[in-house]
Amino acid sequence: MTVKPWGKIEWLLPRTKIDSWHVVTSSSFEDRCLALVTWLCATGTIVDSSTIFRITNPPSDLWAEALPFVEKNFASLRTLLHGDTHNFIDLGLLDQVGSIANSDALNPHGGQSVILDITTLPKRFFLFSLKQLLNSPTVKNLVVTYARAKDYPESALCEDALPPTALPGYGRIYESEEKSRLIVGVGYMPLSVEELIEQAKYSRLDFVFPFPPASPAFRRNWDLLTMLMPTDFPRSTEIHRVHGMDAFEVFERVKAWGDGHIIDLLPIGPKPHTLGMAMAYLRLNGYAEITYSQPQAYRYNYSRGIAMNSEGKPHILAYCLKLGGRQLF
Amino acid sequence: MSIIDTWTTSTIERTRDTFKLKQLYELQAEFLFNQYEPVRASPSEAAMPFLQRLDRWLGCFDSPEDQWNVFRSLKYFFFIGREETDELYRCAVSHKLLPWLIERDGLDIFSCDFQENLDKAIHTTWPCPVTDSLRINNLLHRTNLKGQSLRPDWLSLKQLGDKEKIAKYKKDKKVKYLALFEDFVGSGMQCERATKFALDAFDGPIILAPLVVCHPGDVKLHALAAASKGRLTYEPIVVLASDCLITEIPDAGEPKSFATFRIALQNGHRKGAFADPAFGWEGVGSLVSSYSNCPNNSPPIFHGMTESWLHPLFPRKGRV
Amino acid sequence: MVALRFDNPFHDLWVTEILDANAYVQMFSPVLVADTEEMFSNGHVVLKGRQGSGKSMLLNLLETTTRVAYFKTNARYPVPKKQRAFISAGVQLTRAGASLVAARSEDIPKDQRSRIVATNFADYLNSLLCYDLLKNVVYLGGEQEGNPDLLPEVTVDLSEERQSELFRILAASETWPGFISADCSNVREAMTSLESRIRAHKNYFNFNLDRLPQELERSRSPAGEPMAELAGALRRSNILPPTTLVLLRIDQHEELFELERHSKLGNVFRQVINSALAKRDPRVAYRIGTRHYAWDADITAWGSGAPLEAMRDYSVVDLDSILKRGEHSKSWKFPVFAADVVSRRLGAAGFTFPGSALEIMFGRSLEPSERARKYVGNARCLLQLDPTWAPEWKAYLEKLWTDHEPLEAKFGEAWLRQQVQKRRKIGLDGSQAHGTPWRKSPWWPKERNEIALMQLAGARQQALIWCGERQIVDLAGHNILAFMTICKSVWATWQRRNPDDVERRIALPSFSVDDQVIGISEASQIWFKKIQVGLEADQRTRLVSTLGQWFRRRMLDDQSLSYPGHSGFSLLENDLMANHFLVPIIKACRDHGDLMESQHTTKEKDQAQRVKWYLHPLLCPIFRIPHIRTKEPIYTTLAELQLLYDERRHMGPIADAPLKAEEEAQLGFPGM
Repeated sequence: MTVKPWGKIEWLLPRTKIDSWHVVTSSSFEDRCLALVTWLCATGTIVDSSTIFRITNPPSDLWAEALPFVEKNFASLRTLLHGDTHNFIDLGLLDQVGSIANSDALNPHGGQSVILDITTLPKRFFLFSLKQLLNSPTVKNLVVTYARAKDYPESALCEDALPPTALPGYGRIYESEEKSRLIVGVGYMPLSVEELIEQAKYSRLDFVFPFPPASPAFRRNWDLLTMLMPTDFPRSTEIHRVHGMDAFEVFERVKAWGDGHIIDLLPIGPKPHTLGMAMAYLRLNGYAEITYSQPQAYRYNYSRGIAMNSEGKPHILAYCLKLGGRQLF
Repeated sequence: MSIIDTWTTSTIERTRDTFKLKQLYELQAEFLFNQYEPVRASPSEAAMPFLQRLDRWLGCFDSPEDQWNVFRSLKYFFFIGREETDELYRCAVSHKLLPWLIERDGLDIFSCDFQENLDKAIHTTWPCPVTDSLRINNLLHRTNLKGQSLRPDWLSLKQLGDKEKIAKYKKDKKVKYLALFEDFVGSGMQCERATKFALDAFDGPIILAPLVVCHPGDVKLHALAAASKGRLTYEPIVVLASDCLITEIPDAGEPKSFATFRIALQNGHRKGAFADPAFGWEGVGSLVSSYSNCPNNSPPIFHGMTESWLHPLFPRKGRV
Repeated sequence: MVALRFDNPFHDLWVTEILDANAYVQMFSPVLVADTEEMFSNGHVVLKGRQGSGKSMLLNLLETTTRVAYFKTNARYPVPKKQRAFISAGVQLTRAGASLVAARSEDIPKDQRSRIVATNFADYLNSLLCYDLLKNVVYLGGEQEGNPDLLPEVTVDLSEERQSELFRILAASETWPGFISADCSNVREAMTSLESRIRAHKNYFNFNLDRLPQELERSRSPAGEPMAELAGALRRSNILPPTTLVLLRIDQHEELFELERHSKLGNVFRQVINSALAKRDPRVAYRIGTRHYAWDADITAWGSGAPLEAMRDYSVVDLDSILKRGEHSKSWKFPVFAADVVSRRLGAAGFTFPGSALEIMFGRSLEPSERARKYVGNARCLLQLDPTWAPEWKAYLEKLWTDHEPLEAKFGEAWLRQQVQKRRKIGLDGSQAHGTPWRKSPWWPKERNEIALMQLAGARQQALIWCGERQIVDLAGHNILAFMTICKSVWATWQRRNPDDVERRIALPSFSVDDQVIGISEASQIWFKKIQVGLEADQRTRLVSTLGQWFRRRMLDDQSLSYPGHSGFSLLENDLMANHFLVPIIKACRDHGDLMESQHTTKEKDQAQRVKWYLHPLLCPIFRIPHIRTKEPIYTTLAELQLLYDERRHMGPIADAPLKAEEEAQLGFPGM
């Protein structure tokens, strides 16, 4: 019976007793890209330096609609984070992460305490950045943050997913005779994963279903599950319900399933679940792999606003992964 | 041909929608609905595939339009299966109770003696159910939370309990905190009564963590906490949104399809001649059931059985 | 419910979950083996086939584990005895993480990028294949120790003496010194060394190493050379008999096509593979498994830049060509293949049956007139009779209808309309209202059966009827996966609707027409759903939906049945060279099997070459259009198609479902 180091940012961050931070965040068409930085400024938390990702999507009608919002939010971020120690990285959605999001680029001033805001940072970027920052000996303290959206429209959130591939930094190193087990993190959009899942049914297929919260999210998740589930799924298939924000619980479970086994992880669910899978990958010593189908276009309004918690404050969650040089998972 | 089968050979749109919904319900049957205990208690019912029971239930409605509208609205029905319940238990303890204890006792989660201090705080906590429908032993076993030797439900205690004995037990066991759990809160009346009694009979801080709460109950319990001057902390795990409730007066946030669903529900209620109100007890209209039983806050067309309504979808096990 | 699912012998997992783990080999049909003999002979082979073409089944036959499974279940291995002297090794490119090979390409200076990436990829591939070859040799040797009768054509001898000889030969070869550790003296040590080499690549691709180890970089070789040397050495050392063919499988070759598309490295990966084939090294033979598009798109070899030549450098086994219906239906392979697969499934499930299982289960297809009667039922006359026609004609056609000949009545209506178009006044002359003048040419009604039936069903909002063995086979579109999907759905529908029959079952069931109509409707939905969650889902779904609805509208509106072939479309061949965004989408649909493509002779005077496409037959039920192709498709242009495609721009997540404004907002929960 214990409590993992995560929760509302106003609960967790003060408890770290860290005075100042380097912030890695992104500007996006979604309003919630401003949530963390706004909160930090409003609470007087010192932000020594920052790195803002400014990501350009491939040309499309959706991108043309989104661009003004990206620019507006970027300008807002630069207003809040300005000075010599605050820089930004321009890159394309489909660019290779390795050459761009290395340790030097993420943390150019060698900050010891870093907040990595994954709210609007595309998964392949945030996962790669996470690995770099966790493994960096310079970074002694690492907190990951995520701001929940107020709502999502019930329509396609994104389009034109690329074929699924292993994420850079998260490929499998060791093979074994054993057939791999596929664990799918359920979300809203099917992406292009049909064949992966069909193949998995011949070995082992399981799902991590974000619950709570309940409706309307669970209804949408069941819709997706219905689309993804092969018509003849194995008897052993399980749907594991895990709170949608509980990255640590996902980490514990995936690590337990993966210990001594070969697992493939497909994180098409909420970002905290993806975070949990990434944490598990890092502990499974090269026997796991994270695969993802990167969408090429996003609706500019696929999320709206910022959710408020029960105290009427922006609902931002924080996960402390490293403190005093020690990784906490 | 069954009702559902006729739709699969109807218009293109109807066929497509039927197929999607059918797939959804078949999947949910396998992972959720088949757990429903009152059905499992009857071998003949348990042997019948869910889609067949669903088809039979649809046949209770007279008009094809009503049949279609309830069929498609079933996707809004929130079924709390065993796995959902287990996760709700875990969240109630890990996300609500323990952080509350940490606040109360001023614990440092990053200190090396944190776990030891947390265990001490847990030892001073008295986890209890609000009513006997919350299976407290399951909660304790699933979460590994250490309970006290007695785990009375406080609604029963209100009727049968002795305040002095409660106080003595608290003192003898060195209990500081009371943690009240409830599985489902509809109108909130029962929960409010029990919690008020707890506030009266237990002189320490209380946390109330119901697993699933409907809006009327949520309002009531918020107000109760606000009026308790900090003694009561109210921390629901799930508060149902408007698409899990169908009330007599349409709600602004409800799905548009609820308009025709409402009509079907009322027609069905008339035909079934149910004793319970059309939108369930206290008009809550919850579109919810747990695997153990369907609450009477849900419309009786789902759970009631009468001479003119022989095949409820989730037959309710009532109290004698 | 779980039991019910697994009581369906067409359930994909029924074999492995109910039967023995090795029993899957009994499900392999040997029907295709005879047409694909080059797979088991010398020379390189490119095996082309879409998902559900039987490609995996064929490639699986090469695997050592499969051959052992055949032996253990006493099933007859379908490859002819004289072609069994081979051992194979392989790599599945997705499984091997080929997509990560390009992950660090931008770390490399631009002018060296392609060369270094190609070199690394070649070495990675060499390592994977050499490792797998040794693994297969060890595995077979181990199995043969316990079973001396196992694979007598490939007797493995892993004695110390032979292994020493192997390493003596390898040490003297061009590529092996440095490829493995110098102190390797037996096969297991060599495998460990190769594992370590593979891991070094993977660690590098995954940013766990800043660069590849120097000793690895120094010992990289062109693609194919280490494998060829290993194959030769295994034979020369007599670990393998001297006549053993070494087959190297590279499956999911299309993965490289995708990788190249997104890595801006040109065609470097496929060219590396091609360079291995271009060597035409007799010591090894490659089996490249691919979908169609990925192979044809570039056939130069890395380094030389010289094109590969079909027939000289490799032969092609195109499963699509083998299985699709040709000129003469008697030689059509697919029905034989499908029937064999079904028999095997049912046999394993304990059914015995006289004659054709398909015929017993599905019966005969309904005649057009029978289908017409089913569509109209007892409905009053639904013909749209022109008010100018003579009352005798109207009465005659209505009488045909009420005399239970609605199809004839429909033909009559259409035929009269066509007469009007030809400015003939037959419709005004009541004295001619008798007989069936539309049957004067037998072709006229035959070409129009399906469109007429479609309109009759459409008028009553009914699903189209497909039933009977012949139609079930047609609907599969020569795709065994589609065929099994249909069988599975119809069986499941029968189970659900006839629970008592299921309980009493001893003999093979005979599905009713309703079982088949409902089951096929479901199979079609399942087939469409695969597109929605598959590769390039959004574009394919949108195009298929656009076309399906367009064909339906056109055919329903064609009251004179003048264009019975408008369940397909045709473009000028030149249009496919255009730089228009729809061209790659059409090709993607073709490549994934959503559209069936063929050349055709134009009816236009210009004689310009055209290409035509039809939806995969199993998509026809969902759109309620006929699957039978007749006469001319819709002659169209990219501009016209674009207008239709753009109309669907703001559809919801499922392109066939309109966005429901009612459900616009909902309280939040996670997305990306």
